[in-house]
Amino acid sequence: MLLDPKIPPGPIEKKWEDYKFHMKLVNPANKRKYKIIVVGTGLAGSSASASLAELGYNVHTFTWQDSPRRAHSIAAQGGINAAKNYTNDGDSVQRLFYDTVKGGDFRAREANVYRLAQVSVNIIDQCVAAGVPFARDYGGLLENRSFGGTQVSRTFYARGQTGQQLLLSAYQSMMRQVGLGNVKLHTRREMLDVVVIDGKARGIIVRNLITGQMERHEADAVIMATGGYGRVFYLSTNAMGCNVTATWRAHKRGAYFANPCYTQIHPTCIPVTGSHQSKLTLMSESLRNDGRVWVPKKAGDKRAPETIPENERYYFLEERYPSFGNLVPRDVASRNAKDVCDKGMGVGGSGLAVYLDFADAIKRVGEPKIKEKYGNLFDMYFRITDENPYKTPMRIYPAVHYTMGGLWVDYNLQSSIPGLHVLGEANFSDHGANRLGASALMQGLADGYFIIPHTIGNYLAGANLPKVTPDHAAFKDAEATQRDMVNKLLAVKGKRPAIEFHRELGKIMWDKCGMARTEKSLKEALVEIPKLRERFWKDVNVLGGAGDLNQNLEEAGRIADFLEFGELLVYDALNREESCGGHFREEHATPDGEAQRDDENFCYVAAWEWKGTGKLPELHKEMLTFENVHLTQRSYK
Amino acid sequence: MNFTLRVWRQRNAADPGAFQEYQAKDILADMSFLEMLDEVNIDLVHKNQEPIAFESDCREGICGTCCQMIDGEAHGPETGTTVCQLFMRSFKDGETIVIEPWRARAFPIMKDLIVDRTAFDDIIAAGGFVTANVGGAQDGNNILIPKPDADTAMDAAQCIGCGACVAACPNASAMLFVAAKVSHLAHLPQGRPEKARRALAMVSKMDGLGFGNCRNHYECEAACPKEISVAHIAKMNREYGSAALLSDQDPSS
Amino acid sequence: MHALKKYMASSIGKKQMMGATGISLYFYLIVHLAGNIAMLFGAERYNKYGYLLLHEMAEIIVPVEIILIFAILIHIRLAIQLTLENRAARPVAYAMKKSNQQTLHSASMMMTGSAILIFIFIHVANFRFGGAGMGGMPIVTYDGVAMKDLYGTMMRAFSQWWYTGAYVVAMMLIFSHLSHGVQSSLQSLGFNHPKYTPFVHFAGRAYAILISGGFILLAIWAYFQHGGTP
Repeated sequence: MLLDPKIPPGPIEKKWEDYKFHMKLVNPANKRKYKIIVVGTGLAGSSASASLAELGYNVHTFTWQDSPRRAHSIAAQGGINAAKNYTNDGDSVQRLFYDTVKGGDFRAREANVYRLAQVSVNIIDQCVAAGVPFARDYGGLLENRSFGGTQVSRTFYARGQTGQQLLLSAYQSMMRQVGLGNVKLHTRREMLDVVVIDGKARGIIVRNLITGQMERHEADAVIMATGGYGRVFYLSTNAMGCNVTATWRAHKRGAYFANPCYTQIHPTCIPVTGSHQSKLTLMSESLRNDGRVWVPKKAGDKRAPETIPENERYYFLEERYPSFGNLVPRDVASRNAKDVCDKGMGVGGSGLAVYLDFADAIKRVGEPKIKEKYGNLFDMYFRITDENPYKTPMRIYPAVHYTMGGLWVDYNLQSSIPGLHVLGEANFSDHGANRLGASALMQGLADGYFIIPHTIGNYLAGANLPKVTPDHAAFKDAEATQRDMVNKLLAVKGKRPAIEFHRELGKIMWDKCGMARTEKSLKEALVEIPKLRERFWKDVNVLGGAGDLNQNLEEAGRIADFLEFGELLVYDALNREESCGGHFREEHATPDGEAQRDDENFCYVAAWEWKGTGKLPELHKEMLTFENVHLTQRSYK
Repeated sequence: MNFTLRVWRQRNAADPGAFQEYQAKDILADMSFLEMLDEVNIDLVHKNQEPIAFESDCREGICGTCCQMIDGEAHGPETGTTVCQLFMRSFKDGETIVIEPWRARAFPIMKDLIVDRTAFDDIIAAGGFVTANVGGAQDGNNILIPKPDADTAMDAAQCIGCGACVAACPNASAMLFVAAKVSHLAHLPQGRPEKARRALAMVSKMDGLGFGNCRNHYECEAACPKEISVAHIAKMNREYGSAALLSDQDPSS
Repeated sequence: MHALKKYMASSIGKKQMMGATGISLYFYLIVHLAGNIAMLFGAERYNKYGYLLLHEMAEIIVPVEIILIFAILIHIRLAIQLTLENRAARPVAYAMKKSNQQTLHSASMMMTGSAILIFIFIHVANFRFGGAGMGGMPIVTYDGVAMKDLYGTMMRAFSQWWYTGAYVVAMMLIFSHLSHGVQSSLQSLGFNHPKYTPFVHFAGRAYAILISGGFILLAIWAYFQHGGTP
């Protein structure tokens, strides 16, 4: 079945304006009567809660964390893009649009990306007004820096903690509404199910993580902003609690999952040191502005980096991509790092690392300037590795960082379940097969502040929404399903902690469906994952009970979902017989090793419909048409 | 490396709780403190014992979720760091390590090392924001902000809301947390129109939540993983004093 | 007035009142020390100075004394209230707690403060109210004016080794109290500036040394004035 993205007609630069004018509106006095559930309090969830409450809707916001401020948006370091052209280097909405579509390797929906570029400028203004302490120059104007995949400086930043500052500002705006009584905040509640009544999303089932009680919450519309699924790889830069549960459960209720195989491997992370490791730490891409990436030319060269003379160093990004140099997009940088390591030139104990060297930059601008720009990142590196990056180059290696795939949404950010809207990383819409740096923050806030407030009004005003209560059979069923799931997990009483299965799953995913994928490796994964899942349900040991705070139970439930979801991800990767962006199939490469797209056969969004555990999902396609950007082989040379 | 851990175990808020001893064996110096606890917990599950409940999320020192009193210091012996960024190389092989939850009336213990820090959210909801509805913002460059002001605001805004200031304060006072937000927003022109109201409302809320009073010991500053200066507390004292005594705002608003 | 009451009931309001009353006492101590220097010029000068204060300047001194009493009462009242509130803020103590910035001075404010209060009672009784507890003060006459022999009373008191010793201990407690108090009161009132705060910390300590050291030196001088005989 072909999916209709509901893209409004008209020229691309007019679509959003025209569409807003033609939307149905909800009368200000009636907004209070609509109850909207927002799940997740990252950038997208907090900003959506705040802006919907400002409009007057009755908003109920849920997070599994102890506080909305903990959401993982907080960890974004480098910055947020906006087509302000404050630096006079030729930036424009058109250019941000073009860069994003091209960066996404022509697998994003044009109309969404254009809208994103348009509202990017409003985001900066809104954030400044809300008190985000962006970096400023001595004249008091906003500072910019450059990021990968672009040739202009359009990234706004707050030291190396931009995500933190943006999240806290959205959180504060939301908390203001909590104080005013317009948002009811439910913390320590984990969403376990979407309740669908008469084909529309009308509520959710959450587990109260303190008491273990299942709770039913009804609403007129549900918004999910529950983040990405990077932790299906176990090791990633995601937080420990990031999970696929909310989106996966929605998927099981009928929301299509789009492009799960588009996973971003970030090039600059601190390398893995051992099996005990719980997560990987990102070193912001902004470091590539001043850091030069290199490896020794001689394979297996074990000399200290400072002692390797200039002519024996291979600055592989600068040499292979002269025009973008160290600032090629993330997927390209990651693949090249893997490539040189595969050829034996990797450094560090494991040989799975490359140098990111600041010696030249420190010589050029001095240590204080570097400290001012990246001080907190250098401190973090030092703390983790016990090596001083001011003196010796950093060692970095790619790691799973972001997932472009997510629940399928149309132009209104509505999933295939009417009334269920999906924002931020949880949806699939704007980044295609690869996200450019500093664009995730942009998308999260665009969705929450500037898009959903309009499109949800259009939905509510046009939908027939008879009153439902939590006593409805659909709520009872959903709650019973979730209660059974919890009891089932507790009843296994096997021998092994859930985390061990997660580690095993991560290894399968990384080895067989990581930076490079082949038909063979993917098929192996499709055999191994169901086996692992089977062992999980026989041998997991979930201690404690259902009726109180039980972290084992929470974790086991999330891992159970990853064990199902991982299979879908691999299946999607197997289906996509091309290479594009973060999805690299070794069979589909250009002679010089770049991703080889197949626009003839794969210029579509693969949206999968759940058919049951162990059953093949059904593929629905949304054809991608490019009217404003020409499909070309991406080149950063 | 091997360690003996003395860990506070408490089933729930009502349980009196007690210390229990555990052995952490074959720990690597490169492990983070929480990864060490992960290993201990895996070991406990294999022995069919309920693992130690502790919170963490980002594990890169920015989300503020992790919170443990380690050998009598909030976030452990290193300065400017959170538990998740504390590495076992900071400890001596064979040491006994005492791990306690944050202790404050305003942060009730929920289980083992997990405490409830909702009080911080309540304080922010009372006034820790700029009233700036979406839609009305002017161009971000229209108001110039001197770089030193922006930098000072950022210094304060770095607060991660972990509660180490409260935990380390001999009086369980939340002054540094509240001051960080008051000072952040008072340093920016966008935050100034409602600065009097903000200072009054946030302090009033803080006072009502059962935190102690500041006695200028500055333990908070020493424990803060983001090394936020007590100069911001002075700034808040200034803001509060002038708001209460000189502005026309009612101190309880 | 309602708003002012709320201010004074707030945590910061209380701290600021604590600081402000403290500061009024700092000024008093300077004046007190400066006046006591008169004793170096002999009995007549000193006794006349005492007479001047209590008789000819009574219109000024009595109100100042009343203000000081109020300042001390507020200071004490708030100290007790703050201490009780602070105890309540952590009902269960840590099994292990280290301090990184807290000093002996800052940690012992309540203790030093209580001891100083006892000292003040004795000191005021001894010297302000006609030598109460000291067997009264004799009368001396200069230029036909009869006045209390404050000097003689003092010299008698300080000629006893234990009295001087106790006094020195009290002054050391005042030193400790001021060491934390001066910079703490300024911080509470909002004076903290990157350019001046280091100086304020230094000046606070210097002031504490000056005041307590000054009184101690005078006491020791008095002790040796009469040969240091018991």
